[in-house]
Amino acid sequence: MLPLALLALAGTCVAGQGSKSFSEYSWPELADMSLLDRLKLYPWKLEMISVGFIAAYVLTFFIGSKYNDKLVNNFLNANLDLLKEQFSQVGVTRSKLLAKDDSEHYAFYATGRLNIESLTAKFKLQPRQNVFVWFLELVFDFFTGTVAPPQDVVDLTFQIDSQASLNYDDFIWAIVSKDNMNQLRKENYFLSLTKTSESNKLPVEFVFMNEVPEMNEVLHHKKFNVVLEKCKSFLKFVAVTDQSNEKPETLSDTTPSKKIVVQLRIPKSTAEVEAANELLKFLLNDYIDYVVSKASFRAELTRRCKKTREAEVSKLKKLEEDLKKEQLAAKKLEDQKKQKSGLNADEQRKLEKKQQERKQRRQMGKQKIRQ
Amino acid sequence: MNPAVSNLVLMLALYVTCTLLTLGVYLYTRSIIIKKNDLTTLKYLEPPSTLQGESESKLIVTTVKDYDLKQLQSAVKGVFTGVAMMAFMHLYMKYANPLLMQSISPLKSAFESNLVQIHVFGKPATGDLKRPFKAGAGLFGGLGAPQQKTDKESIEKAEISGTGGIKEE
Repeated sequence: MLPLALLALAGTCVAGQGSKSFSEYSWPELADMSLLDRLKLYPWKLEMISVGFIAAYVLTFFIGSKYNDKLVNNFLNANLDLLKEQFSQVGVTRSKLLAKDDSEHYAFYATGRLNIESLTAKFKLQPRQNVFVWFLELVFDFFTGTVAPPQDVVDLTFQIDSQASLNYDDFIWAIVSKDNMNQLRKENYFLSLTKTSESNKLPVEFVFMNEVPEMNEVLHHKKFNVVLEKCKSFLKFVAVTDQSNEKPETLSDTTPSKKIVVQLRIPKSTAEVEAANELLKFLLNDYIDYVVSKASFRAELTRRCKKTREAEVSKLKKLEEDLKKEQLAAKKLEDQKKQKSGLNADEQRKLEKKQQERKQRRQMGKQKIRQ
Repeated sequence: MNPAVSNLVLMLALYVTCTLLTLGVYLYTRSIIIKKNDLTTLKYLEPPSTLQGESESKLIVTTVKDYDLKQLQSAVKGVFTGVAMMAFMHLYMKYANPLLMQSISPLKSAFESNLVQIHVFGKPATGDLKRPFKAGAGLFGGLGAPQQKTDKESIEKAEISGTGGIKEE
């Protein structure tokens, strides 16, 4: 690439001095020249621009993706000691800590701890490696608001194991940052099943989103506020839930699977990273085991949670039934068509007459009932 | 100097100053909103927009600050749309008369807007100025326009309706 560029530079210099430009020469004249002369004469401007453009793109790709790598590793390394202390297997495989899908999606996995089946962390970063997409997303968000603004987000999901799940009730309880909370409710199914309530027990930047407000007394651990105060700049929510974040589409999706979900903007400054570490410490050392052992409630409280779940299940059932009915009707219509096509004209007429009579009789019957 | 030309220059100057003043008023209001940082939660039901084919009203859970900033952004957007329209009318179709009219009216509506009334003039946010603000009389008559609902019953019902987390593919 370099010799080509040098050649091009030389070429343009020569062309500047020369009397005729490349396009002014006729084909026979050009054919008479040596290869070197022709290369010197040729204006390399377009090639230089395109090569420069590609080089800039490749360079920004590497810079952007390195920066994303750094952000994720920075966060993970700060918490690695804690994670190793808590989990027997840390990392997606024995030798690899992170799984990198592409330069904006990363995943981390850990397993082997009392009460927790697994911890998955899903990182979704800004598309820094692709400057065009990044810029477009920023512009579209600013002017139209239809595209979500690019953000560095990590979702930490502590899946509670089946044994521990039996120890406490099905409910949804969350502390959510007020900043952009409508969007969070829209993105997470379980949050859209809860009621939002302010409380003077929380820092002003946060609200409770829960099914039963009386549960706050137990679930709002006394150490929570100190941690929240430190994490208020980047914590999006902490949720204890038995429902998924995606809206269930079939009945089998509604079976509760208990987990504790934490969403953060990926911390950048050292103070933020430290605060995030403190949050994780609090969750792993105190909170998760506390929930598993303490979160059983009186029947009056859990009844309300059950009611919401039943309502959601019946909604899905109705949808499924409607779908079945539709399929049946379509099948019936097709059968009739098949039957008709198999008969000759006379028989078709007879069949139609019969169907008409049947319809009339049915209507008569309906009228009688009305009277 | 040709009197017609000098009139035009005067009008243009007036238009530009008024537009800048309008934007200035909004920016000043914005700075006040951010300084106040009112994080009181606000819940209301947005009527379904028939244009987008929605049938159910949407629950909005936000803070007073976020709500105000959003309203302000739409007001600023309105000013820019006005400027674009004006540019088209004046530069392309060569109309000069709307310049005068259009220089006063955005400024007037800026001073009359709910946000400026509340934050700049310090009026209490009650009565007509209670959030969520009523949808103004639009192009098609304000009487029939669907309004936001704020009654407790319908909000409580909408809150636990599980409308979130729909996979978009």
